[in-house]
Amino acid sequence: MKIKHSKAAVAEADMTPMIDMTFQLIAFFMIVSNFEQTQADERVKLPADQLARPPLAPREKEVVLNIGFLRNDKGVKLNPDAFVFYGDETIRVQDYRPRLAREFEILKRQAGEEKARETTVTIRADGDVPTGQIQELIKMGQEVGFLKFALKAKAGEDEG
Amino acid sequence: MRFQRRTVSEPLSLKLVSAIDIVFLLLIFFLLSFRIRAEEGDFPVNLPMSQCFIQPGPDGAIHVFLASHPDGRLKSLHLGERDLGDQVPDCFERLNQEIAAIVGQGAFTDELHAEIHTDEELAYRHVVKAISACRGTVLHGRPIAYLEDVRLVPSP
Repeated sequence: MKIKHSKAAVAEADMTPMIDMTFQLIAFFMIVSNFEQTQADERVKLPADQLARPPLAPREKEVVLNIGFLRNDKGVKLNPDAFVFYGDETIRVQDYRPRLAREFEILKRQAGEEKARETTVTIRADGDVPTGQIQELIKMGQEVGFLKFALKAKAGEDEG
Repeated sequence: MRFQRRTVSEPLSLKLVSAIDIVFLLLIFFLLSFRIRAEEGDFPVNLPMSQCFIQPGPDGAIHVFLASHPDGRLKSLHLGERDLGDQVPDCFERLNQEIAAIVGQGAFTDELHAEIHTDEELAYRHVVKAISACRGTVLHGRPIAYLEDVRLVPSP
């Protein structure tokens, strides 16, 4: 008896819809990802206000200062003093002047003194930080040469 | 002449495996870096040096005084001589209405500016509320500007 040898067909799943969906997901995440808030520190709990709107045009250069408290997982303050968060470092507000002076010097070398003076110092401060500490920081900024300051707030209303 | 028999050509297919790998890596990157964050906005403020407090500003200054308890809570809110209370957020709404009335009266709104005098201990969130109350309001989702020039002055 003659046995027919049929070629075994390779089972192939149709990947096209899955790849389509993956591309759509990538497009979605690319659009909604905010790469502008890279200098924002998650430890700072900004106060909220309905009038806080992002500027119409993004600033060419800005110095962002994150001021907040060291808190545990439950949000309880570990230290009553406010700190400036500079990457992994935590610096007391009253000790921040040399850093601010260095920032100004770097900007001056990069873009000239006039541009450095026009650079906005954006303050992202926790809602519980005493205003005196923010004023202290602003005063330091003015003394080293900065002229423009902006206070950040979260858009919307405070919860509770 | 002997011709070689043509071999059956296999269907041409692109090797998509590596492309799909990259696509998945991109997807994982965006998934991990994705954070749901509320939009942030600015309040540009004019911040006179401390000596400006000693020499009061020119005419057109609306003085707002914020006093604080030692723990940072709001103790009192005054618009000039007028006491607006200490109940948050009602006192800031009152301030907003008073500013609206002042701005509504005068023809020289460009010359008007607010000077916010605060105690050092006062929690920053109250200052943000006071700045916002001076700067304007939101009506039916549209912001309405009252005073563009808001200055922050420390209490002596």
